[in-house]
Amino acid sequence: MKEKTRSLLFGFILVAASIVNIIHPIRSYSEQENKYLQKFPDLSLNTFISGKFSTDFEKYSTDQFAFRENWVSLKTFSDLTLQKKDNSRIYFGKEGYLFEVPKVIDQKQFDRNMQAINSFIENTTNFNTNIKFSALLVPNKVTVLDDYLPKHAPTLDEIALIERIADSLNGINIHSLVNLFKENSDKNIYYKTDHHWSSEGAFLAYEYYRKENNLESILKESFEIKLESEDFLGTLYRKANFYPYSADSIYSYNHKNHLTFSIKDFEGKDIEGFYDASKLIGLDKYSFFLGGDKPLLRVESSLKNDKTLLIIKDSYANSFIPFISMHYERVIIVDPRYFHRGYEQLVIDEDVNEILLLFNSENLAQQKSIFNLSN
Amino acid sequence: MVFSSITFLFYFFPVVIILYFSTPKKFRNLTLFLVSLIFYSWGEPTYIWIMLFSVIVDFTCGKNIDKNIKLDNMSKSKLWLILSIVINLSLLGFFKYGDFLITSINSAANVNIPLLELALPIGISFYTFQTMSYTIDVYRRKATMQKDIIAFGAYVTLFPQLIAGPIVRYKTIASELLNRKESYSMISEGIKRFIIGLGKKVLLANNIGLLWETVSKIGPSAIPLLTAWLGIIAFAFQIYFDFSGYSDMAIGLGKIFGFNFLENFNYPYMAKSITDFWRRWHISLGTWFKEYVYFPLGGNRQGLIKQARNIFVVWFLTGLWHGASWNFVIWGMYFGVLLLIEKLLISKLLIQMPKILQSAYTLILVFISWAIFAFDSFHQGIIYIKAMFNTTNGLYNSTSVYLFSTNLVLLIILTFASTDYPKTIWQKLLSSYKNSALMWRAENVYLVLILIVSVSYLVDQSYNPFLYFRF
Repeated sequence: MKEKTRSLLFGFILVAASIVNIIHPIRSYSEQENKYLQKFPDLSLNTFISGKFSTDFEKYSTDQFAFRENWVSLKTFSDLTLQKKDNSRIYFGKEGYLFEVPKVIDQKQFDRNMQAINSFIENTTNFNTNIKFSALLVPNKVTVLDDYLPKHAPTLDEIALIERIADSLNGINIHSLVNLFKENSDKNIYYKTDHHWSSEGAFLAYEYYRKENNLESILKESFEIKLESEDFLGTLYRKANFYPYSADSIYSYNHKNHLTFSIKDFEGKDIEGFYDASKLIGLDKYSFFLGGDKPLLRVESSLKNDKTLLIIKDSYANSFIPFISMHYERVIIVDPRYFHRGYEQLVIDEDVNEILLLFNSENLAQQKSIFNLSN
Repeated sequence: MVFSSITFLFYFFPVVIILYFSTPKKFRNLTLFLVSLIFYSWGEPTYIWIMLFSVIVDFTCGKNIDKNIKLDNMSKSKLWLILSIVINLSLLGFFKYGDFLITSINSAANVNIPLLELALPIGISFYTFQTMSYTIDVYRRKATMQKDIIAFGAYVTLFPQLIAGPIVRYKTIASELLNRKESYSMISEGIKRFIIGLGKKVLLANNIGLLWETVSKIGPSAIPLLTAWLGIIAFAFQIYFDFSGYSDMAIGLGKIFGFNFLENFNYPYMAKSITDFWRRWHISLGTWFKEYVYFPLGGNRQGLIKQARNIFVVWFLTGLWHGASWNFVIWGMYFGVLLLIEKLLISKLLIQMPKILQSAYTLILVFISWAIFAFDSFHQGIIYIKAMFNTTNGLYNSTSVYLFSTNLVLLIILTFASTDYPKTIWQKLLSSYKNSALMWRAENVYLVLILIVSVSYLVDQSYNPFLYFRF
């Protein structure tokens, strides 16, 4: 009798779960997880024989599993019960802070990147010795907020990495923000659920850069700081899978001055302002800044000082650009992940006087697209 | 397809259960045969022909071996047996060892023969060994010839043990192939076995596998002593819970369909010597080699020198069976040497030692073997073993402390789970507690919980490797 009960119980669980899964509506993305979900894959002789169908189907079966988010949070819950402090992608830090588990620095990639940057500087200097080069290196969140890390969690020695970058590059003024940020670590420099710095962090970096370059002083008080979103869940949150979280807030800084800006993209199309409020509804709220990463942007201000700044950057720069643009007549912004044209030609064509590399230090050392600078 | 996947649990398996039990008894082998082919072709359909070819070859050979025995034509019968063995070993040799052989020849003779670069057909090491057990046992008259090709096909392709064992010798399930009785008591036992196996694989093996992955990523040349030990213990737990979990799932599924497969693991980490360890680890492989290689070579009955030779042949082959790479051969020979030493020199000494020392002796030697097993390059394995026994990289560092403290709970659970204490404690409770219905219900709750948590890990698509793609 009890054997029959068990057999029928589990038979029922299996068949019921299977039916629920089949009739469960198919979704194209999970809003809570901020990720797109696999739909039912195409079935044909070709996709079956190549194994593509089965690979996609396996993904489909988990992505479309009924009440997926609850299952995933149960998994995170049991990880935390086991006293795990990471899920091999993310450290579960204190007070809801999430950190990326560091990857080992690939020395070959490091050398390639340094060589690409050096040759860019050298070639550019060859035809115009007056161009000023500087680099602003955004530290990893882990380096600044190490107090919030789980005890003994392995991290990358970023200070040493920055020193190595400084030693490897020639003809460029390297600014590390590590000390500045550590002194201000009581402020909300980084988001809890995302790897990026917040507007406040970007503003700190801007103030530092402005002083270093003797640019005209603009006080923080002259900005109107506006709360744009209170439910920003960043990329780390997605990788942490329903860590009992607190969402982040996104702020915009709007200067009450009389400067006007015209922003044009790669194709010359007009872009409305530095902030794109439409992105606050979607999956990727960080794209609120500059509307996300673009191959190239041209910012022209009503300030006529005949200064042109070229910023070569990663996504950290997007929240920094609204500030720095107030000091130049023209700012050209390129992202090497998407901009593949000749960089030296760009410097000539746009009559650039200053070049700023604005990257997270690890990105500068490891991002493959840095190679684009040398061609 | 693998058992530890949502696709298997909630798409394939429910359909199979419904199909199987709604099929009339005499067609159930056909149902098993067909669903096994679908199971196998999932993800890798091109190699299904090799398996079907193997079915036909060994079915035909078995038939002719039997026919010639009855005609008293033993030499002709033997010819058919040799044909079967040659074809099976050629399939295995070509697909599994072809490139290994070419690489070895290339480096030894300094030539440049191009590689075949074939993907290894999944499970080929298991089903070729199974079909050979059939023809050999028919020849030895330890098994009767199977007249029904569907039943034979069902045996070879049987999805529960197809891709990761155990290696089911034909004679152990010959009678059940044609005449088995599925029952609620076997089904409920099968369910319990399957879910426990699933939990071992998904919750225990995969979780501790992450620790091994972290350590092996750091690399053996830079790790302090504590990290080296943590890493190898993690690997030992991962491979045990993964492999024995798979065997449990296979045995459980077998029971649901009315088959009784023999046990494949018996708490190997409780072993008190290396000899004992191999009586408890991957038992079906050890039995196979004993029956079809060691005994035919003469076993231990023709003097010490021949016995030593036989042991080395068996352990060379056992090592090689685990993968086409020299480190597996060395791993096998390492055990051959240890077994011989135990047999000749220290077995009597070992028994007199305190139990704890016997355990420590066994486990340390087994951990060392895993370091050889885990690295394709023997050189890397040696560096790892050195890291386990010296402190040039320090005793520990903050990474060691982090890995230790965040895995401590899991390691305690794993240590407990790799002994037979949970089982004996539960049995004691069962026998002392009169309300068996309540205990039975408690067991149901426990199984449902394991199933739910395992599903949550599978839905999350966390780390879930298939470790036997080289077997």
